[in-house]
Amino acid sequence: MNEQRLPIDIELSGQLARRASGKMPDGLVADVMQAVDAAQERPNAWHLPRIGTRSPQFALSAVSGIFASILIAVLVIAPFMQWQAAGSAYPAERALSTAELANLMSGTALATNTAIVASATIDADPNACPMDRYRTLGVVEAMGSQVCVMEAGTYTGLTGSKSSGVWAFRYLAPGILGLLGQVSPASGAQLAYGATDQWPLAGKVFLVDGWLGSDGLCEIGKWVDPEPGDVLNPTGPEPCAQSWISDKSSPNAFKNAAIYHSPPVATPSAVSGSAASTGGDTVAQVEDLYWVGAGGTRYYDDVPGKYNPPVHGTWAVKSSVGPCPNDPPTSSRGCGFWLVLARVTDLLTEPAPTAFVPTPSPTVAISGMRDSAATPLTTTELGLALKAGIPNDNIVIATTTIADSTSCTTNGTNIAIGAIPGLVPEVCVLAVNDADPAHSPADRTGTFAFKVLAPRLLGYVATVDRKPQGGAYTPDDAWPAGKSIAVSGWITPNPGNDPLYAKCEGLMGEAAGSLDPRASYCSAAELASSATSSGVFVAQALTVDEVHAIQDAGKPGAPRPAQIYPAPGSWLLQPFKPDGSGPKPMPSATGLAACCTWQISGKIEPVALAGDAPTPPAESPSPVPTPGATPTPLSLTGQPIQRAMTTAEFAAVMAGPAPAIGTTFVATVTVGPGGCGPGVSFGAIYGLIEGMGSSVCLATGGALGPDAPISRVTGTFAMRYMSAGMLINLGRVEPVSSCGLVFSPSDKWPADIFNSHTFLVGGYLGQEPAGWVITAASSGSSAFMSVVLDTDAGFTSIDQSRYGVFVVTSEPTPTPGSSTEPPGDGVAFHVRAWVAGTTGPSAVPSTPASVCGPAPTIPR
Amino acid sequence: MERTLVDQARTGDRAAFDSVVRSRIDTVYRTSLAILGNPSDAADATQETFVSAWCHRNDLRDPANFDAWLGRITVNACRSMLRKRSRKAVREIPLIDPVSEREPASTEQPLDVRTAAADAFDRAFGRLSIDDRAILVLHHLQERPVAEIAATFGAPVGTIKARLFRARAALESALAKESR
Repeated sequence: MNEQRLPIDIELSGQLARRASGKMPDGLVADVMQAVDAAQERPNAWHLPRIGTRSPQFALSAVSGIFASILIAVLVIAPFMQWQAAGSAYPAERALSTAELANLMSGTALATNTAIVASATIDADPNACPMDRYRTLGVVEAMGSQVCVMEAGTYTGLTGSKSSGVWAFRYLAPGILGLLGQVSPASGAQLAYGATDQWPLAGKVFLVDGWLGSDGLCEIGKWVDPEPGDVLNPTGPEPCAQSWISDKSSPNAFKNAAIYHSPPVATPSAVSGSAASTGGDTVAQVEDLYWVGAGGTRYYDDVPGKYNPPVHGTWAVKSSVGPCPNDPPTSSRGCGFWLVLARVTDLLTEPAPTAFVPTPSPTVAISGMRDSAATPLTTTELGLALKAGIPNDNIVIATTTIADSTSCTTNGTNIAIGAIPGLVPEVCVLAVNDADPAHSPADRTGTFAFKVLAPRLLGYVATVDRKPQGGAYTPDDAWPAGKSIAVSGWITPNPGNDPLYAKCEGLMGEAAGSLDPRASYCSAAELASSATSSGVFVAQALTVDEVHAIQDAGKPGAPRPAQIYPAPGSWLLQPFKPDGSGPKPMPSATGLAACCTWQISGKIEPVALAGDAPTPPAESPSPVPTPGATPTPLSLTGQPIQRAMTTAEFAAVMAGPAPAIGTTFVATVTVGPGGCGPGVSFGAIYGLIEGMGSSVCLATGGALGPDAPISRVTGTFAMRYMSAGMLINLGRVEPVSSCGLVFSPSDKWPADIFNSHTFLVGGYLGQEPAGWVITAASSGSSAFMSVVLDTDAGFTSIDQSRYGVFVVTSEPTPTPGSSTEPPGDGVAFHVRAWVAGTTGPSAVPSTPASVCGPAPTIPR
Repeated sequence: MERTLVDQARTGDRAAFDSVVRSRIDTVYRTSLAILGNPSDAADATQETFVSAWCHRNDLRDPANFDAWLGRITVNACRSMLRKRSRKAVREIPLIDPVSEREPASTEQPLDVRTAAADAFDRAFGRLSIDDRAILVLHHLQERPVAEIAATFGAPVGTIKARLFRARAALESALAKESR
């Protein structure tokens, strides 16, 4: 067999063999067989728990045991539950008007997956907004700027060129809505159904006001996460729970043990009729409740499930059909069930304008500084940012003064400590530290982190210590003890057996289990100087959305089947004081100080100011970088036209404000040996870039380094910025011709493309059913190349209608079914990075080699 | 014969699938154990792996790629298990395996030195991402061909080689931290 074998490390092999040693648990084979049996019986609509006889408390003795556990759980837990009501308005139990929707979509970006119900007209246009993941249905009329509507599994399509009605959407991104379905109103006067009304069948989507609760199917304490499905088709299971909707938080049905003992049993074709079945099927009302499937909704809308109190709200529900229990896969029968698509978000909108007036509105990032290089806002910029509307609770960082003020007073909770001078109307600053109600800065002039409490009201969070030479700290820097700082680095949330979790044994409640940044003390993240290096553990404060993003990344159908972390970014860190004197009181006696002395308080993102030129959606930068990558192109002289930066231009960029970590440049430079040390964090050192004014090193980024010290070489390199004075070499770029640097997908590749080449490709990167492609034109039939989006590419989402220049590496790969290894008989093109500043359209068309002459030969 | 079994299992033959389970369960369990370092989690991951394999048997296009396909499911099950374990916030203390303990020492190092080294290794290994752990286990423990690992991860061979290097470097870096 012609197979190249890489060496096996005997010592590592021995340690791994030790880890893998030991007797396999008795009965594992039987457990697996039983679990497979159970899976074979499992219908799609009703999700039974995973079972195993190794757990003595939950032996698979009989299905009745499961429901006995349910009853025990209810009897034990229900008396101690605090039923809590929550508001349900979208707003005020009505759909948003078209004008209100337009206002909403033109304002501050909403949280991703916000569920919206609105009255609107959708113009069918499948080509309006090409998107990676979802097919375009059309655009919403009268929105001022373009608002695209995307299709997913729950909606089959629009009929006709225009469709008007009340729609349930999920907000996917600025200018993009996902369609959950057209809402069937309960009556001419009422939009939402009551929880005990007769709900509509035949695949209708409708709203229900009521309580969503759940009951466990597994033993107490064995928590299994709900799974998401797709955000627009949230058929995610609840492995250990069964949800219900009722008009009461404690349904009467549960007082009837006979009913409670009866699991929902599907009746074939129950949904095909025009009225709800009244028997014991899955769509029938059981006294005062309906059994529903709600795993995906719980996942996306962060609705707590099993053993948590029921939640009141307005729910978008769909009557759906799935396989019947115990039917073979080939069965053509269908059984009905109710699928909760979303919890309609409580949108407290301002009164709708009488007539829609398009008003350009700047994009305001969720929190932040002036840019990704961690430059604080000035006082003036702070005023502009507040005027533009930073969402409440977000953090903004500014260099300013907090002056005494007699007009600023307490808001009833927090003490006023002053005002920002020079801003009209006055912006007051309150103390917001729970542990120290009078928490205020010792020095009233400095760089401060503020939490936005209201449009003209800030909470003082901390004084931010700035690096003497400016810019953000890196994980390799010595961080000033006890100070709040801005750090740029690669974050890996909750990495493996993180040490903070190991310290959490015995903790209960939100501190132990929650990933809410306001409560999460029992998890850690690692901040490192590069995607591949180890770094510093810090207490983690991830938003739920970020956690979802991590989990989504590995799911089938996700836009990119790879982890999005480690991801670059800038972060606000505060001293982590588990004794309660830190930003948030800690559970005592946990010994958490052993892990972390710093806590991530927020991610720093750029703020677009009211005075900035508004960016219409069609001109938004593309591709969209992942969190941390700069969203605004740097002003690079050489790009995107057909040449690299000169050494002098590149030196000027390196001498300027620090770019965002991960920013990729293409420049012609000379790299020589020496002066950079051995290099650890960024792989082997490739060499020192000459002519930079200060030491700027080029590292291999994890790949094997050169066998011998490199000789001095001049060439055009693609380089990824990692930290001050340190870049990773993505490869020496091979030109198209003597006068062309950027390939088009229609260009002829080098003859020896099977041997790894690095080159630039200009085109439109997007995802098609068969995978990622770069096309020569944004629409229509054009030359294309199939590519693989590299894990470290630094972005996950692409606006396919925008031109970009990408660093691409060709790699030899076996064709399917072939056992040969390099040189192999196939080639894969890997997109490794987006070149900063290369948002199109291309300023200079590609010049064919026939005009310019052949490309110079590059020593390999 | 083996390929026939897989083919039969793929079409829904439970007896054939059971045979496949019996022939692969030790490998799946050892792989999971090496990745997760916890027998209970490894058993759960093993169970999840085979349940998932059964439920998604129609996704297997070529029986010849069964092991790579099963390997991918195993790594995903380990990833899922690690996530659930981390959210449960439970610290599990590994017990010294009595079988291993009875084995004669293979080196002349004292037991406490070997124990400390093993402990440091486990802590360092636990710092790695699940993919890094998996790729090291598949290569250095199971000695699977790089092409099969590439098929397992759905990545080109060259990428797997680079990932192997990175995973090894990450482990060395973590070990260096543990030894400080």
